[in-house]
Amino acid sequence: MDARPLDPERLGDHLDRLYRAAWALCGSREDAEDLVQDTYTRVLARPRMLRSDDDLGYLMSVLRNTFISRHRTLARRPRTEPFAEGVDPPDERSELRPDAALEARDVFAVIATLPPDFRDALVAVDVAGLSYREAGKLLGAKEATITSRLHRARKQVTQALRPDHESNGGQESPREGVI
Amino acid sequence: MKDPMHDDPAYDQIRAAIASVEAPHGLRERVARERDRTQTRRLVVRRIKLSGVLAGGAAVLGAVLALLAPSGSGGPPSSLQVAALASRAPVAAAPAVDRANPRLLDVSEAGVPFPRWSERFPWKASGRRADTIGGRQTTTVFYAASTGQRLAYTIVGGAALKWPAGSRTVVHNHVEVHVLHQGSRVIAVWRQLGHTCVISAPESVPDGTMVDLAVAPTYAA
Repeated sequence: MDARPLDPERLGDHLDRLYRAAWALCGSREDAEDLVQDTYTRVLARPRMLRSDDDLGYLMSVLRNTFISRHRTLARRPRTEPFAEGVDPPDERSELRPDAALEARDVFAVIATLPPDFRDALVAVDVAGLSYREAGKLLGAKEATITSRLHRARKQVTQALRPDHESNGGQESPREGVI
Repeated sequence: MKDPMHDDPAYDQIRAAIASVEAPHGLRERVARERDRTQTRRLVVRRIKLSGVLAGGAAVLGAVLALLAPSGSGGPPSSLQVAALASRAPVAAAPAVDRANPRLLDVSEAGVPFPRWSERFPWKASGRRADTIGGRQTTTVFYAASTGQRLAYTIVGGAALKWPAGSRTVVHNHVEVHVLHQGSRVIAVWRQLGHTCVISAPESVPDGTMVDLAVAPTYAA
């Protein structure tokens, strides 16, 4: 079996992409940070052998599984109201330009509310930067399916973020279903 | 493959917004600390192993655990207990092929379908059984090769089980597969949709084949 150990020193190279993907899945910066940290904790818990060079794809699969697990756990708990509905407190920790921060927050909030199949395709390709083939492997779908889902997801996001759209992003709504 | 929205300026802005985000400094620091802590821990464990202390301790611990964990002792089953189902006989005929997807059999456990491998591997479904172990519903499909070898593929309902101790972890097609040898059997354990799947096969089946069987795609052809 041609396998190589996963190098913990190189895991940090993918942190930005994983963080973006986590934010797009969760729709919230705080949840995204927790999700990424849980993902790294899982991956680092024991030595890993990979059969391909696709470290990012592997990390994305762990991120996605962690997200599913957390989602199921949360679904079993009673819902609580957000601290201040409709108000997103300023995040002093994110290293963003102020103008871009607002836009990114809106974009991720919209992506998080897409139907799971569309959201996952868009997160894999446009947010994490996987190829269509890698996204197909990650999501257990053919490349043509990924292409179709991606196209529809992009259209929905673009439409939802148009200034004249009735309910654009910026709010964190509960996510239904799992990936 | 042509990007369907390559020329859409509105979507270019969205891409730019996504790309503008970087992981916060605090998160970077926490991940780096976790990595350093893990590497230090591994170094310590390696040294302990070298001194022979761990080997002796593990033997004693293993014996104690074996005594404390008789069958039917409450909690969820271990992967090895699930793998032991391979020694039991099928109680029903082989499931039919899923008409909607020829890569699948028309049987599933907890929403996870069983594969039909015969197009890619010389294993054909030959029977099945259902059991409850440690309060968990399991479905096992037996696959037979023309050589007479038989393997058992079990899916366990409910939350994922703990990974088996002493296994080798291999990641292929983004799936984490744990392979270990137990007596005359080779066992592969992995997860699908959050549920544990176990294949127990004769030891003559190579580890690489076990991983290939575990990650064989089951989505529509």
